[in-house]
Amino acid sequence: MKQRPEKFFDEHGNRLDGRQRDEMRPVDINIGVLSNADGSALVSYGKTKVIAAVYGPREPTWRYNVLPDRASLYVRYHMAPFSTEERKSPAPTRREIELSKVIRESLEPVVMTELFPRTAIEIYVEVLQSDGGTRTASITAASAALADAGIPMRALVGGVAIGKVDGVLVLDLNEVEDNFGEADMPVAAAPDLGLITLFQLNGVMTLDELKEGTDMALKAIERIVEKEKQALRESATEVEAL
Amino acid sequence: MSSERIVPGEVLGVEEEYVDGKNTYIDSSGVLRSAVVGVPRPNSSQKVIDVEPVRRLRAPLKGSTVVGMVYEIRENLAFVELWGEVSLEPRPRWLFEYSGSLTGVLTPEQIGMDRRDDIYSYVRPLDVIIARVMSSISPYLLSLRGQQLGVIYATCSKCGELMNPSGSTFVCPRCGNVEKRKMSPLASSRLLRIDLRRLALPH
Amino acid sequence: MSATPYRTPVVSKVKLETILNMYRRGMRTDNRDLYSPRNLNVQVGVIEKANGSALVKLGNTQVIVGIKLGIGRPFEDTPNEGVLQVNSELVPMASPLFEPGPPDENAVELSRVVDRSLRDPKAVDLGSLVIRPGEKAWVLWIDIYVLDYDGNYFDASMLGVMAALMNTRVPDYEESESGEIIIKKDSPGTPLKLNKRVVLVTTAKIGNYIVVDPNLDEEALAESRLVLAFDEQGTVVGAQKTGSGAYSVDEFYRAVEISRSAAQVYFKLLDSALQKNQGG
Repeated sequence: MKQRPEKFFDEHGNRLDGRQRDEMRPVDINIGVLSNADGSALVSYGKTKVIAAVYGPREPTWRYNVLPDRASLYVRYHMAPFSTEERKSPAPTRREIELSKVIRESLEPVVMTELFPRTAIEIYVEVLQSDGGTRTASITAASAALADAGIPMRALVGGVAIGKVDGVLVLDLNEVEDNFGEADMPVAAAPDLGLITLFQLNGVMTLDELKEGTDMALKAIERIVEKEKQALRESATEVEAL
Repeated sequence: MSSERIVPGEVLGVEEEYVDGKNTYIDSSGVLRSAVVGVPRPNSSQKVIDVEPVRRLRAPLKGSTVVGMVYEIRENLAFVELWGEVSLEPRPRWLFEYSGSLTGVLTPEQIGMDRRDDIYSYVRPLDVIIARVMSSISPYLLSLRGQQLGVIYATCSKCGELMNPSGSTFVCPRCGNVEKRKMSPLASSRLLRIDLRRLALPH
Repeated sequence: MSATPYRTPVVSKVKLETILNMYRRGMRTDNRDLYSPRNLNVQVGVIEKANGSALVKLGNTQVIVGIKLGIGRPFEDTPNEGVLQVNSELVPMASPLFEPGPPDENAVELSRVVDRSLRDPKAVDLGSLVIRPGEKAWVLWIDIYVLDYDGNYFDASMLGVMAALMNTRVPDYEESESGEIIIKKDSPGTPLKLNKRVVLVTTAKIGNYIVVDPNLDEEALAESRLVLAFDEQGTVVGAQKTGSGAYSVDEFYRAVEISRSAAQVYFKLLDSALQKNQGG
C-alpha cells in the first residue's frame, strides 16, 4: 500500500502527477487488438490499461437466461492478478461482481438488443493495469469493442471518474487520489444522446459539488467519446459488402 | 477514406427529410442516426439513408449464405449448426467463421420437398450444407431453394465414410452404398474451401 | 458474469399503461403520491442474541438487520479503528425471484452500497472500537436479511441498519494476564458511538416520471433507479444508479432534488417509528 501524501497539490496548484485539476490523463484507444473476438479494444487512461472483447450475438451457453424479445448482455469485469501493486487473487471479489453489473447497466441503454432476440452478447473486460478509474475505462473499452463487432448501437458511451482531494474536485482521479481522497464519483454517458448511463458516488459531497462534478465529468466524456469515434473511424481498412 | 465514415450515434438527418434505412434508427426526438461504424449511402430519390458497415456483424443476417452441419432431424425439420458465411459470387469464397454456436432450421418447404417425399432423401445428420438465411432472428430459418444451395459433404449412413459425389447422388468409397441428397453443384466442383479455425464448438 | 435480467415483455407493457395513467393523476397503485415513501414500522431489539437488531417494514417490504460485535484485528492501514463489515442476503423465502446460493450481484450491490454510505461519511465512530491499536479491535458485523420483498430493499435496509446501530451496545470486556480480551457475557455494555445518521433514498424512473420508494411492480417496470445516500444536513454521502436505463441530465438533477427532500421525510419517519416502538 502506498503512503497517503501530505498534500495532493503542489505550490502551483498542480496535482502530484503534474496535472491540473480538470485535466485528463492521456487517453489512448486501440481498436481490433484481438483476432478471435468479434470485436475488441484496448483503452488506457494514463497507467490504467484495460482490454475489452465482445462475442456474439450467439446462442447463450446459459440457457436459462434466454430473453424472448431481445439479446441478453453478459459482462465480466475482472482484474488480472498482476494489475495491482500487490498481487490480486484471481477469484472474483464482491467489488468485481458489483462492477460487472454496473458496467452492464451502463451499456444496456445503447445496445440495440431488440434486434437479436434469444441470443447472448458477451463482453469480457480484463484490467491489465490498475491506476484508478478502471471501471470507467472499461466502459469506454466495451463501447468501442461493441462498435468494432458491428453490433448496432444507439450511440457510443464513455466514462470518467471525478475525485475529491483536499476538498477540491479533480478530473480522472488516479489510484493515490482514489485511495486517499474524500470521494470517487464514476460517471458514464452517451454524449450524442445526452444520457447518463452510470452514476456512482463513493464519498461525501455537497449538492453543489455533486452538480459541479457531474458537469465536469460530462464535458470530459464528450472528449473521450470523440477519441473513441476517431479510433473507430480509422480502425477498419475497407468497407465490407453485405 | 476515414473522413466519410460515421459511427454509432452520429446524425444523418431528420425524420422529415429521410426514412431510416439499414443500420440506422430514429431517436425519440425524430433525429436519424447511424447505429454502426460505416459509410452513409443516401438515396435521394427514395429519401432513404443506409449505412454500409465497415465491419459486418459476425452473425447470420437475412440473405446471408451460410455453411453448417445438419445435427438432428426431428418431425421433418432439420436442425443445423451454423459455422460461418460464404459468398457465392463471383466465385465461391469463405468469408468468416461465427464465434459461437448458432442454430438454423430447415423446413420441408424450404428444402423444396415434395409432400410424399422422405426428408432423408434430401438431407441427413452430419451433412455439411450451403444454405440461405431467411430471417435474422435466432433460431435462423434457412432455405436450400436455389441453384448453388444444398449438401456439399455427406457421410455414409451405413459405414460413416465421407462419400463422393457422383452425378446426382453420393457414393460411399468404402462400402459402395449409394444415397440421394439435395446436392449442391459445389459438392463436385470442390471450389469452396471451408476455413474453420475452431473445430470444436462450446456446448 | 452479470447478465440482463429476465422480464416478461407483454405483461409489463400492460402494467406500465395502468401505472402511467395513475401517475398522470398524481396517484400510485398503493394510495400515495409520487414523492412519498410507504408507511414505516420499526421494531428494535428483536434478536436478543445480537448486540443490536431491528425489524423494518417499509410497506410490505420487510428487512431484519442483526449486528454482532466480535474481537478481531484492525486493518493494517487503519490501526486505530475497528472493522466494519456489511453483508446482505436476499433469502429465497422473500420472493420467488430470489434463489438459494451465495449472494448474487444484487445482494453484493446492496451490501456494498450500504457499506460505502456508512463508511465514507464515517457514520459509525470506528475509532471508538479499537481496543489495542494495531492489535485488537471490535469487528462490527452488519447482516442484512431481506425477508419479504415488495420492492426497494435499499431504503428499507438502511433504515433497518440505522435503527439497529442506534440500538447496539458494545459489550464490556476485560483483559487476561496473557493479554487476551475476554468479553463479559450479559454485561450491560455501552451504546455504540455514531457520528451521524444516514438514509438511502431510491427513486425509480418510469416513463417520464420519477417516483420515491418504488414498490415491486414499479421496480420491475422502472428503466432505472437512482439510490442516493444523505445525512441529516442534506449532504450526499453515496450514490448508485442501478438498472438498465439511462438519465438525461435534467431528469438526473430532478431525481437528486426529489430524493434530497425525501431523505428528510425518512429521518422523521424513522424517529416517530422509534418513538412509537419505545412507547409500546
